[in-house]
Amino acid sequence: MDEPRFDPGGFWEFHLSGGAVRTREGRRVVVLPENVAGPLVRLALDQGDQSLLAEIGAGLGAEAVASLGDGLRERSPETVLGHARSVVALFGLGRLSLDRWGDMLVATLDGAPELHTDGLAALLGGLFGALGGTEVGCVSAGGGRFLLVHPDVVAAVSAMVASGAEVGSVASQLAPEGGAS
Amino acid sequence: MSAAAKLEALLARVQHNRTLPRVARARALSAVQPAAPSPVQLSPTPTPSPAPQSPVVAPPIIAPTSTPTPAPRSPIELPPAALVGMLTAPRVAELGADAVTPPRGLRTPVPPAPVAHTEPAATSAAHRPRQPTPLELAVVDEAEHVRAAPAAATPAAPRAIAASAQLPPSQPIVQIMSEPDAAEPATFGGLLQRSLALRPR
Repeated sequence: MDEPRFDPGGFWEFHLSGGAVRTREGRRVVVLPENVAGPLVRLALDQGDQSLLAEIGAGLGAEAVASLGDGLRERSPETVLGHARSVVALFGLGRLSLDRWGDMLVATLDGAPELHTDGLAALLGGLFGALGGTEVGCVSAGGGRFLLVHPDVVAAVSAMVASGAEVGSVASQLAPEGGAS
Repeated sequence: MSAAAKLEALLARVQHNRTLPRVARARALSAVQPAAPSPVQLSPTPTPSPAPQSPVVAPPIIAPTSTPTPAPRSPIELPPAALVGMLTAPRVAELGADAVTPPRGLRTPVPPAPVAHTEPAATSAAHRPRQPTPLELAVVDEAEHVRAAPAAATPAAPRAIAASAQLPPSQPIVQIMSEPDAAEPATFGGLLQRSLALRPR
């Protein structure tokens, strides 16, 4: 399959006469300073609302999906990650990378703005959910690492992380469904 | 017909012949005028601003030029394509050429790295040259990694160092690179599905 490359040219459209900034997909965005976005995220999380962050992530994923075209799930991991990372970078949210620990995918966000880790986890969950076309749970493991797991096991994985388990230890405590011993 | 009547008719005919060209010229001008609108109609404020009446004039912040200040015109519609290119291209170029395609019309000193590095299956891992991977998709062997607990205490293999060379030095390198087995899903969907299928033991 021909792997498309991400083209950042013309990603942002500055409509000066109308005072609007849009992506090339037509989605209007608002540019906020980091020191303003951080408290807003914190406020939303304090109220128990992670849906806004997940929606932001889903929007990022939608941009990547649009640039990837059809058959996203059949694309190579490198291609999908390249598009997603480019979109995340264009929004100034850091440098996205992806590791694989056993069967568990671990996303890393270096240089992310000072948003709460739970907010970033919700954002990445929305992002990879949009990329995978399914709901994805995301658990912060510290150090900028986020574990991509099924939403049903988010609580269990979060408990492992809270108990001090490293990423490798968490991966060792997980097994494919139906093959758990 | 009397002579007076003939003379009067002749004078009337001469008068009629003189007026014909004027009417035709007037009609021709009236037909051309709508096609060439006057500048007054195009410019909302074409009249120059009146000269200051008071002899005391505050010094302007910006030094006036010899040419008079142009009157405000209608809003300028900038060409969208040129505007977007002007505003985005230089900033996009700063992203780096490792994972993105260079913007059109810009020259980047670093050539874009390959998106995917596929290698022949017969090549052994020991002799396989490590290609630069801009995406840092580290494939970790499950068995080796699970045995390496705690992971942070595991010394990094040389290949892991090469694979994680882009990581900051302060960050411990815990990935152990190994050959992906034959059943490895080669698609993003397959990898994600495997990750989502994990459950606590």
